Amino acid sequence: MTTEFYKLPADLAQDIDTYGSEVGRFSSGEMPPGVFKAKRVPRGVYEQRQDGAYMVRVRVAGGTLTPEQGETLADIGSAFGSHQLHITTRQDVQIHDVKIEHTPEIMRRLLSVGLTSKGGGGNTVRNVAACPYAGICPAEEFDVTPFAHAVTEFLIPLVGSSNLPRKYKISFSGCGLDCALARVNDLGFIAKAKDGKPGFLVYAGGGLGAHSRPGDLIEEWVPATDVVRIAEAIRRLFDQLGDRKNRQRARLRFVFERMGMPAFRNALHGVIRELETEGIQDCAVSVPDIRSPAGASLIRRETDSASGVRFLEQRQAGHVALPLHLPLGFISAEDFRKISRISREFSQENGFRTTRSQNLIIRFVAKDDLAALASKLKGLKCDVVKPAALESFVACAGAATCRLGLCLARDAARACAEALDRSSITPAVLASLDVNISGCPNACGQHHVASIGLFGAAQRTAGRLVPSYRVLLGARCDTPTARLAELAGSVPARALPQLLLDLAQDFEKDRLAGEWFSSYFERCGMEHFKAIIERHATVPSYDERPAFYRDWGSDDDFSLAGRGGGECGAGVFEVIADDIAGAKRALHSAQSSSESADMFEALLPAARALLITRGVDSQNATDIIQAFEKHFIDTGLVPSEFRGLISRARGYLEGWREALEGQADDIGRLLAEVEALFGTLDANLNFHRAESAASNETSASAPVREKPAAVAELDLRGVTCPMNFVKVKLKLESMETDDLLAVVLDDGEPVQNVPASLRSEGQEVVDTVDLNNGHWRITVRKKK
Amino acid sequence: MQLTEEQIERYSRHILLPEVGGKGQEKLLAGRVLIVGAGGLGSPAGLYLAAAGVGKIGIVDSDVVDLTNLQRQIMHETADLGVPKVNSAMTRMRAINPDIEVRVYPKKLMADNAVDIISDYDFVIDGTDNFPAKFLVADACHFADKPYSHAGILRFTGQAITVIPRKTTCYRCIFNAPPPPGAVPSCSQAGVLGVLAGVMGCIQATEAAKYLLGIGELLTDRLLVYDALSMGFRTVNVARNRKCPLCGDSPTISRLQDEERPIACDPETCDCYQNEPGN
Repeated sequence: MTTEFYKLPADLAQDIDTYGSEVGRFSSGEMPPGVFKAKRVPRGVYEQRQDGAYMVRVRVAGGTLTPEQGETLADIGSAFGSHQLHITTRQDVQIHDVKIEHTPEIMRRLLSVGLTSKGGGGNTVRNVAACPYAGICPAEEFDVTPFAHAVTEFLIPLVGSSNLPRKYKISFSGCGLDCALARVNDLGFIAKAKDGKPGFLVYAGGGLGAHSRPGDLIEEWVPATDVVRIAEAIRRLFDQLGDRKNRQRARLRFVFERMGMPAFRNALHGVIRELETEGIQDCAVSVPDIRSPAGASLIRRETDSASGVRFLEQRQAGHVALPLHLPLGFISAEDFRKISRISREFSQENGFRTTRSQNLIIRFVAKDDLAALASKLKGLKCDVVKPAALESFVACAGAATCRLGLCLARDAARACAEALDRSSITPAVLASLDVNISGCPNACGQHHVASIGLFGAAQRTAGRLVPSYRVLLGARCDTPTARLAELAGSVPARALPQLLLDLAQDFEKDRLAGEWFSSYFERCGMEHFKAIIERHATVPSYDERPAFYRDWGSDDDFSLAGRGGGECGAGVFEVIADDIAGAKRALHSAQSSSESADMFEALLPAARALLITRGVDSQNATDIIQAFEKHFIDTGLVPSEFRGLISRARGYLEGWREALEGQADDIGRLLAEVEALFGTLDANLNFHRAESAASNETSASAPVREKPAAVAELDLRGVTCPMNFVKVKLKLESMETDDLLAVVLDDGEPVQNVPASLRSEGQEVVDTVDLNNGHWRITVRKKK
Repeated sequence: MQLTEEQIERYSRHILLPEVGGKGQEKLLAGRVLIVGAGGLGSPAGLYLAAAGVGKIGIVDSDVVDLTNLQRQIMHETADLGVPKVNSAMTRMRAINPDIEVRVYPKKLMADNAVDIISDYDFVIDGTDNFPAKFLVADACHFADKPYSHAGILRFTGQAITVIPRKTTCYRCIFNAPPPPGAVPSCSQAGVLGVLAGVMGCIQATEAAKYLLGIGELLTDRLLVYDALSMGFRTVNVARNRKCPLCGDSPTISRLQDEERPIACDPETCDCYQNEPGN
């Protein structure tokens, strides 16, 4: 029996053909990478950190998979991918290490079993999540799964769903305990029956990542028939009101913050009325089984069976569900195929589900079949039955494959889990705490919602970078007033296992029977834990413990070189601020001496501070000075009047001891320039110098000197001819004569045409630099 | 004014022109042009100016679309028969470019409303088809102090001139007054090559765009004469006339008046009787 949970768009096959021809044009070099990226990402195809390797993210609405779908995913993983599949915290299934030319065929195979990667990434309606215990949990009001399917079926075919200001995440929970995290999605529904009628509490504007916040309750109760209209109305409002210019402030939560709740609700009701007149039908999901779960407890506690497997008692008598524990969400294609077959044989709902904790669950198994099923599960390569400490961890891919990652989150999770496994901490204690780890401030590892949350960062100690993690505690998502975790401290990555061991032992020592770590946290208070974390915050010197300067899973010294932009900027920002503060301190203490050596101590961090944004991370002073000149003075970001100071610095390094004597004022001014430039840095690591230069002019304390040429920046990656030239022209029109504009262009036609066109219009092209990553940076001086 | 991403893309071919650029496009978007007559001349002018992003376009016509119009009046379609011309004109212009504002005046331009209507615009395109109307537009633009482009078409010949009132040679400097009844036949008697209207209307639109942009040399103090049969353009220099009744040393026209209707037209067949100024 094949169950069709939801219909995919009728034109999907055609869309895959279109995509196929785009892949061809990209491969032949006809389509620039930037343009192609805009085509593939909304279709769920991401480039991995390794060049030429791609990942396909398949949406699994509500986490439901049929055995056929599972087998097809396994086949695709074996035929085109790394023979491994990965379950994400949004219940998607990812196929890694695929070649770009295989992606259209992968999409066709997915389509043949009713699956798609469309909306797997980009500014789209992302996978609609649902509680994995929907339909079986004693605490639920009713089964929310069909609603996740209905919303998917309605939203995915809409053209506008693939071109939103930013991503749009929707989730359904069956009760207020909110296992599907409806309260931290852009739109979340929590089931609630009223007078025997099915309905939902509606939350909106929640989200993790930078600027995370829980959603607001925007509707106290709506009948279940309104669900699709509300999802569509929010989509339209987001489409109209979301900030398309500033990606960092694009999510729905910022629309909320700008408008305020009353105005947003008014607008929402207006759109819903529009939808009613447009004739968008009631959501036609029938809810046969409404329950009054008052007092019932959550399904989550696992029970041991005689046959060695652990199961969950379903609310349907005689039926059980089997959670399958995948280490950090990974499973071999072969095991995934076997699980699909097992589910066909044993699950009365004919299939299985993916879960937010990156695991799988086979449900509706007759209790009498447990022994037979257990013996089949023993045939898997991976032990999915017995939870190890690693089961308590969720970790994103981190810097291993993600282009945004700072730290190797999975390696950190493994190191911590090993330490916990070796310790005497009891399984009951381990099962009562969960640790979510993200490799950077983006919350793919959902670090805000676990009882212990960690995200990767970088800190500088004695001139070297140290991989470290921020520790967050105190999250509570199972209550109507959801609360995200708060920052409790920061530790070097190497100290993580010992920290977690300390936290677990502290918990074990005072734990009340059946207590979760989150309750324990509330009982003890933040200060108690801050003190524990503080004990692990120290970084020993490089000579003493070089391992502290290397991330888990890496033999090389930690570096941010080659890191892309993105919200990981947050980690980079702190390192820059650190350097600027260091330069100020050094300058302050050097003022009295004016010795060259002291001056250099101040100049070096000033020159180094911003180099991280240009992918340069060096310990070598000569390299730092040279790179600063190349990336900041040559490009006009820092006025060329500082060339003298820089050549003095070079002289100093070459042995001219007096080179920097009495240069404190110039160093101070350079530092002020660097700091001003830092103030214009956006999260994509671009500078916006033009605006800041204007504001500097009015500063009364600015030293009297020739006005530096302002520098504006324009990122035209992925913009084709002639639109790139149009944009450059428009930008130049807004600038003063002799001002400089730095422009990043794609390789090929753009860099061949744009500088030539600028020259023919009488502008001066000062500089053309190959960034060796498929892009060029040109600098233009406005002449007319 | 800040161009939106969509506008930058829509107008990119303008912005690329060194003489236009983003600032020029902003001038077009801030520009206001009145087209008198949604007929053979007004059709191409209206469509191109709408496409160019002229921010506000006014169109005056009291006529409804007639089957004989469709041979040259490309702003209207067969399905529009019987529909007021200003309506079909607005639909077509807005379809090309929803970015612009179109204001319609479903009425005749008359002595008592002309200055009022014209004063809301920066430039006027005379797309009328009869002498009284052309003189009225010329006079009204003089009193409203608005530049305008005149064009006339008959059979295979067209003429055009741009006038900056009080500064350059005006329509009355050259023609003084409407021709005596019967002296000149109208289109409905003599016929006109459809595309001739297109060529001349486009020249008028060009002048309007150049004026708004402030670039190039306008067609002032020169009468452009186009002969489609020999495919020749020539310009005849025309100086200001000190005896001009409108802008001469001692003008005799001091206020706007409706000119006599030309008796040249056969009241049975010529639509200028019922519908001027239009067509």
